[in-house]
Amino acid sequence: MAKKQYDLLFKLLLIGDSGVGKTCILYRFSDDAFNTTFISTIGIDFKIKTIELKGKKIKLQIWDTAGQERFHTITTSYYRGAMGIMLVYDITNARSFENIAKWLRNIDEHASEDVVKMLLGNKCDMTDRRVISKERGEKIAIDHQIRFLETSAKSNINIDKAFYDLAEAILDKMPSQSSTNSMSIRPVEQESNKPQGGCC
Amino acid sequence: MHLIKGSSLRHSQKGKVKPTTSKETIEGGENSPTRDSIIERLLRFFRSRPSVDQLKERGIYRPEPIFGSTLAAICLHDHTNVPRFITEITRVVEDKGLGVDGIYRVSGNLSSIQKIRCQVDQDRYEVLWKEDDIHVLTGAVKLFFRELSEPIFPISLNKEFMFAIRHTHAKTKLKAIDDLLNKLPLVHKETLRVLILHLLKVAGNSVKNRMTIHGLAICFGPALFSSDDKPSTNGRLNGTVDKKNVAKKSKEKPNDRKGLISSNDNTMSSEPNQILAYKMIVYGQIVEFILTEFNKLSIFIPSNGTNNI
Repeated sequence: MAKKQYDLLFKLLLIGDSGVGKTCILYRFSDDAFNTTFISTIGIDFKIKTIELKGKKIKLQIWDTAGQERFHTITTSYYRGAMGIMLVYDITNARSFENIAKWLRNIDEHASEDVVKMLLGNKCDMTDRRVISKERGEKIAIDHQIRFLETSAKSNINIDKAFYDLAEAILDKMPSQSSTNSMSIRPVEQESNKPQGGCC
Repeated sequence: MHLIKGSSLRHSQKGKVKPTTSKETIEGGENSPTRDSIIERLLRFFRSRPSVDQLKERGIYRPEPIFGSTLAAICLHDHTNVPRFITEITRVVEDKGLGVDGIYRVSGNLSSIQKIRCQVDQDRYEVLWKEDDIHVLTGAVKLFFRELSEPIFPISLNKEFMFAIRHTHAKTKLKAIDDLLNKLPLVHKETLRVLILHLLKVAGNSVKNRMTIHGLAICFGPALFSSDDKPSTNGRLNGTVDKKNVAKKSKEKPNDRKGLISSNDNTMSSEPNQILAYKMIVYGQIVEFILTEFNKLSIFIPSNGTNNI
């Protein structure tokens, strides 16, 4: 058997309204670049990046979904296998914040129960156009007991932290593994026996 | 389970009117109830719900006159060749904000969009002029087309459109698409014309709104084709699914991508989704083609010189 390049595989999903910057967040994280082209994602896309966390090599398979309503038939079916979901809104766009409730409902309906959620308020570099205060983001996150960060894909603020935090939360939830080398990488079937609930 | 039990009990309690039926129901004739037979019975039970038509007859379900209807019915209702909703809302959008960044891409507030829908279904159009958020208006336009029970590009022509767009020879492609557009019912043609003219105006402001023809086609294309087309399971389409298309361009190694998308135990992807995604791409391409070749397509050439672009 070929030597495995990683110890664990985590599947993450990016969701949120159209145009909030999901693809840009992913590009910043995976390629450390900011893409100024303004094109909608068609259906679904993914990127892979391997990170090191607590001495483990973790391969992140990050799925980027289309925010366009018409693509939702495709995107919702990807919720099921996700271990972590990043729900993104745009701090300069009130609607994207108001629609968070809808996205959370989607997660409840389609994702597995123990999925780790994280709320991201993107475009936090655009202070002059901000309409959603950091406090409002924090409040909704506390209400729903999910992690929260403000990010900027353009200025590279908190992007790495967001992915590392989410990965760490998933890692912490996993049953303690004593024999990592014999473990098969089938994370989806791996029932987490002791969810350590809560955050924040 | 309970419902079946209940109904068969009721049968037997009714006396001996139909003893055989009730026995059959309970014992399932020769076969004792298996998991499969129970599932099948449940399915039958759920399928036996009264049809929408029956509900309509009884006045329980009242269809909306505009959203979720057909273009033909709406135009009959409005006494026009283009739904009044489309003529009005495109005018409002053009009046208020062709320059708004991300127009037709950015999502609008969902409850506001539903509010517009309810008002329009009651023939109240003032709401459009009162709405200041352009993304709510454009969201309503997209919703209108998604909700049509017969999409503007009829389902029966889907395959032909998908075939036509794959022609590599420019003239053949143009002719094929043109022929297909000519097959559209009159109200579909007229509505498409208004919509395409409108989208071209939007794209004409792409310096300000960043929405090019290509970007608009991605957002709009899939809304104009059937929204509940069951992905076909035959092999032909499977074979043509282009992996790099399904999940957009990316710098992953081809091996990675292939392995992930085609592996069966990968719960994150499934075949029907690939096909659906592929279709969405093609729908976008068709609309992009129509927008780009607008001037050469005969249905858009004005017969009486009223082309008002």
